[in-house]
Amino acid sequence: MVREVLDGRPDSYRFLVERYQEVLYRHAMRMTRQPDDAADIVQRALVKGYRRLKDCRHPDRVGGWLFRITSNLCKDYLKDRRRDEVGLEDAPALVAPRGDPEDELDRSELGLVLDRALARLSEDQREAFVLKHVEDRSYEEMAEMLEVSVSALKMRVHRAREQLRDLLSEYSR
Amino acid sequence: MSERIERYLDGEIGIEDLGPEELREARAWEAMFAEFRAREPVRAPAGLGDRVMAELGLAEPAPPPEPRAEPETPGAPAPTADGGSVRHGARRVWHAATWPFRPIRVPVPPALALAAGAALALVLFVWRSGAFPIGSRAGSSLIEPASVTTASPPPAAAPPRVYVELRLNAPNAHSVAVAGDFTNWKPTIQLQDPDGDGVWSGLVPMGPGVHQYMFVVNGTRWVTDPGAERHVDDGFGHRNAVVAVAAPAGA
Repeated sequence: MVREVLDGRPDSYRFLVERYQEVLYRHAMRMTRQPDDAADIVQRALVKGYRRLKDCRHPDRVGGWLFRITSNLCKDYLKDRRRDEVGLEDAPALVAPRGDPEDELDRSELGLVLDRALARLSEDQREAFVLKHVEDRSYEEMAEMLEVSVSALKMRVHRAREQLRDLLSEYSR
Repeated sequence: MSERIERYLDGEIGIEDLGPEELREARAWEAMFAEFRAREPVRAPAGLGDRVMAELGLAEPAPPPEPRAEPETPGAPAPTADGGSVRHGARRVWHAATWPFRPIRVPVPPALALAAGAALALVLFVWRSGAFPIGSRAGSSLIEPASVTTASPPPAAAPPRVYVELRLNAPNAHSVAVAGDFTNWKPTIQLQDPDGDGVWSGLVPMGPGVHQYMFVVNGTRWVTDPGAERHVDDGFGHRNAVVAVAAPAGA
């Protein structure tokens, strides 16, 4: 598909957009927790991907390449948010309401606490944690997607878990 | 956190390797992960792809999804049927599609594997009456089925289609769809499990050539076809299944 686009059939890019927009959006959403911002990030990533498609070194792995563009935009977004001191802690929780209202309340509170804890991780730790434990990826998959070594990713996930444990301990006091 | 819990959470050791105290902590972590995952499904907003294409100045209408095919000629079998929201007509067509055909899986010779860049199985559908109608020709770049017929002869202007049977064993699934390069990677082809045995299957129309596809279980989970004989890495942590489809005789 990449070759088709580069060979002068730009409309074929729609195939890639359709193929990857959902998974890119899910990741952006988990990183930002803001639906509009996540959609904006994915749109910018896919536009950027098209304009730089000739730089994609492995056309058969264009999905991972688009993921890295999205990932970097997510991390830039989180850094900007930190700089602007608009805490992600203020963002609404994304826990879907289910069943018993009391249970929903408990779940919403739990979701809020988890979101706040996750928001306090560094961008790299947050990304690694989300990929490993929310998206259920293996370290090998993550290494391929992010072009980071397995050992470095393990370290990020370990530190993320340690920080989450400490943060959640604080919240539960 | 103990090293064993770290290793367990990293998938390096099993739960049986944990002591009772470690087990409780591991369960607490898993409950937390489950809470994060419970936020699924998160769907991209409608029109996101259109906005991307518009910003790029490529905002032509999306190509129509090919696979929800209607029979190309009266009486010809439709290749798919709706799964969870099956309409009676669609289901009837499904039965009509299945009974006259017998799937035959044909290994692709190395010559084709090399030529195609990816080898796999060819699955062609032949009339029940045809015994071993498919033969290979040494030196040929494609297997040439001697008496293979597609499910319906296409009109002169339409590309020939071969109906490929795809199956997935997914006993706990509520729905299974197929997405591939032949559907613009939209999971528009619903497989069916009419007898409830957990094996989902359907006939998928494809043009001649090499195609990549994946299953989409319950509308969100992308699953590689474990039955495919060849896969390619999509660079995204997934492996697409690959199928090569030979042109029907006379096409």
